[in-house]
Amino acid sequence: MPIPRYQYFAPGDAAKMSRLQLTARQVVEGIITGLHKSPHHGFSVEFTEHRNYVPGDELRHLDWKAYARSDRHYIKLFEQETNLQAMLVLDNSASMTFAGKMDYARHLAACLAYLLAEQQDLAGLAAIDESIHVELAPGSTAGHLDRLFVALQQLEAGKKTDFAAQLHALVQRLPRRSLVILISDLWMDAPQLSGALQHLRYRKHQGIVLHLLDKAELELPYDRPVTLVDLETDQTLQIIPADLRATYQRAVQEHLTDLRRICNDCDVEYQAFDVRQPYDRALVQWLSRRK
Amino acid sequence: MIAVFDLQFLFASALWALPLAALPIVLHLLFRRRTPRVPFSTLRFIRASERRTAARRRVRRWGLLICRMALLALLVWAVAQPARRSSASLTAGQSVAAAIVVDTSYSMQLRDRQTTLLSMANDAVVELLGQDLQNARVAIFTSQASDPPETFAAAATVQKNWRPLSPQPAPQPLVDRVAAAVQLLQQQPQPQKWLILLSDLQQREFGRPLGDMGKIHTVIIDLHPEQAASAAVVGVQCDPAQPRLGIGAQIAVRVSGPPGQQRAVNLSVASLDSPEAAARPPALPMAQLDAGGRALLRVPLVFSSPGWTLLTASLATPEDLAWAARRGELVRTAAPTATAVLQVPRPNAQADAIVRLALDPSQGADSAWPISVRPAGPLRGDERLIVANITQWLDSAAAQQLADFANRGGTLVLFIQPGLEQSWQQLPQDQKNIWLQILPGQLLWPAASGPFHGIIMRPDDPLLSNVGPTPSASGKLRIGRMVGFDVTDGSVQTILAAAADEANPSSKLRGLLMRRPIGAGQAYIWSTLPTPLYGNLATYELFLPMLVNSSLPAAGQMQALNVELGQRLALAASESPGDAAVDLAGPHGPAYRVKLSDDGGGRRFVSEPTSETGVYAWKRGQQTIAYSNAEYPAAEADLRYRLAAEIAPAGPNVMVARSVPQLQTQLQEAGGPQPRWPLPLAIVLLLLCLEALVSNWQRWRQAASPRPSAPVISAIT
Repeated sequence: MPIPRYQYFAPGDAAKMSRLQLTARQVVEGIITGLHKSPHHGFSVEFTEHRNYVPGDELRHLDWKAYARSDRHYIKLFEQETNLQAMLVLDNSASMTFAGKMDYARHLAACLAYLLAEQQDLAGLAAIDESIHVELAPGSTAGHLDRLFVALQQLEAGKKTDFAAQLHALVQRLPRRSLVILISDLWMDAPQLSGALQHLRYRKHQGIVLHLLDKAELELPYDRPVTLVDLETDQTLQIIPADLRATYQRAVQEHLTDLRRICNDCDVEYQAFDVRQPYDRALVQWLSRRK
Repeated sequence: MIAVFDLQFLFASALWALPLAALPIVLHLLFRRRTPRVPFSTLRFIRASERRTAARRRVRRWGLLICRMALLALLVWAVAQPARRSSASLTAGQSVAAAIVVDTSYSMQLRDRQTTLLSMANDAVVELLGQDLQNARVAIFTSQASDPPETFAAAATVQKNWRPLSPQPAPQPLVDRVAAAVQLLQQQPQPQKWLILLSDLQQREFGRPLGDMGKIHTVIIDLHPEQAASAAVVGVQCDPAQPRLGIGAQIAVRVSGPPGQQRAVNLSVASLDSPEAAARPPALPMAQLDAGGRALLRVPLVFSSPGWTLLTASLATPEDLAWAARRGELVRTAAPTATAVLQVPRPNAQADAIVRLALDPSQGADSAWPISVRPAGPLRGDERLIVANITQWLDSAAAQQLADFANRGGTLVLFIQPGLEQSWQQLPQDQKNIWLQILPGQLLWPAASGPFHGIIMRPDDPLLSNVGPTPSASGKLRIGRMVGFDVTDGSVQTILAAAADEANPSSKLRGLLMRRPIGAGQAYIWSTLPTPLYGNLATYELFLPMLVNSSLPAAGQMQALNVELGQRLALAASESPGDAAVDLAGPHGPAYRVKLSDDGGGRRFVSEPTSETGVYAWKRGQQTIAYSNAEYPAAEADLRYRLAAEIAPAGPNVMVARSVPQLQTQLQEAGGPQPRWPLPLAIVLLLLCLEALVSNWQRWRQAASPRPSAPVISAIT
């Protein structure tokens, strides 16, 4: 496959991604045979179970060996493997511009899209802040990837975020069981995120949360008084970091704990990414560990 | 120098720097503008944290700001040198009332730098009146209260009537005069009250500090020489006070002066009646003054001729306090006392014999014996001592005769026979009343039963003088029977007592020998007879000397021999019987008449207060009948300096100077501004500490408590 030059997808990324797989850990519904378990039972290589023969069944599926042992007619059922439909959901609120998280998210999304396309899965893209800015339906063709990469390039950071509400709407629109990969800094109310994830699971989608964090957000490392500007609201606050550091770190710690608990409760896979670590290495490490 | 709100600043230009106190605010504002703007992903957690710490931080910030501003303001304040000028000024004119207390006691005659302390005090008063106090209201107090009492007057009036003060007797300590001055001073309407004390600050004058003077400004001008080295004869005493002819006496000379020094002392013995018959003066050893500055010299002396003898002790070297270098003591060596042993209707011959033998052991053979016992017979009228063994109550006339004898100055010695307490109950009341003028009180009935043992109650009594060690002999006196008296008269003195229980001597004490003053005379009453039937009194070792000493004149008569300057001389009426007045000639002045009076101390002649030292002669016409001696007060010769700080503890209202010029210098300094910057500086240092504490509090707190570690991203998943 020719690799055109895109801002957020380098040729080296293609080489690294070609050795990896992204599989769904739950069953997903696809339209072609692929890597992923399908909810539909078929007749292929992977045996699943027996069932009693009923008239009309094809005799080629009859388990003659079982008949010979038990003198009963059983039909062999096999797992039907299908392809995956994944939706990459990017948080493009203004807070994602802190410490280059937006670019980092674009790289992650591009790599994951390429990886999915490589394994014949379908990859879609949605960018959310206060509304859904970009929504590309899943696809796996080279042309689709091209459109997806261009869309990532053209994506601009929004302002405020209404990530949870928009995720509700997006999940509602996904046609069948899909893999939803959320890429966000998750600076939002934990209960709202919890509601959105529960909705996602209710619709029988599989969820993966890629949480982008910068060390500065965790440590508040400033040594002298600074005026902080909220990237989403433009509000300012003059602080003496030394005075606040301890309580701030405790609050952030509690928020992260809440996020992990919510993801765990909703059976959504959670992975934190340090944006100061190269995205390709972080992605390789995550996927390798996941495999 | 300018004054702001009653405050003065020596370096007022520094106050222009006061706006520097706003420097922390300016710096704060500048510092705020330089705060870098940092984009941050979300402020939600920071706002929450900031809300928790905002109140505490705001308080700390404001505290720090105020602390720093106060710090700068106080620094400027301190650099400007705030000063305070004392509002008190001696020269404040009519708003000043000043009481000047001048010590005019005889110790102020001490010479220092060719003049006496009193002259210096006089000069100081004149100087104060003419300069510092010329417009003030002034009252002058001296050691002796004036009559009429002191009042405040304009300084000009006081100065106009001023006469240099002369030495005076000091009947009361100067501290009491100061108290009187303070009391009068406090009644004055003037807002500024000053007490100026000029004294040599002797301990005897200031037995206690001046006390709280309130708002009264106290100035002490200490006139005591810085190096006083004057010695003095502070006492000449004859022991016994009235020596007997032919019986040895001791002369004690007390010397006071600088510790560790020596003084040669001369003693002269002069007979006033017959100068040629004076005893040869004994040589005195060198007086070696001890660490306390005292020396006591004792020499024996035997008086060989009766009459008046003047003992004079003087220091061989001239002293700064001239009069104290010499001191005299008049001694009267009495002629043999004419004594009668009174015959009573039923005499006890044994008792009479014992008494006669005790009064005159040689029975007239020794002409030098001080007691001449008359044979039995009627009284002649010139007896000075009557001894009687009362075996029966004398009738009223005889009893009245004894009482009159005592009232005139005679001495009665009565031995009361045990058993008379029974007949006492039957005596007529008028007879009892006459006896009660002599006896210590009513006789008790029934009498307590013995045996008793004797206890000496007054070892220092003149009756026991010159009789050797007495206390050890007290237990040897045994009395079988005695009468008891219900003593109600407070003037009765019990010299010997008897106790029934030997194990507890203090229980049930009864008077065995009592002395009762009666008019100018006295009576000694023994509660038993000196016969073996009633005890061992006759053989008791102290009986004889006590009986002989009974012939001594009454104490009041002895005290009149030597008085201190300013006191009155007194002569018992018995010395000049029948006269209504006698003449008194002073040492240098003319004689004046002294009338007989009865002032409670008996009938006697009492002079005006003495005004000069020396020997005074009592005269009936041209005949000298007695002498008296007046000396400077012994206590004033004993120079004991007390520090001014002990008399008036140092304080803002107390000044001590050694002269008026020194006082004026001090007043000038006190009137000038006194820098008061140590307090602002102290506050500055305190604020510095506080500032450091507040500004570093957070850092120290974080260092003290473990810092929470930030979450690690790789460990979050």
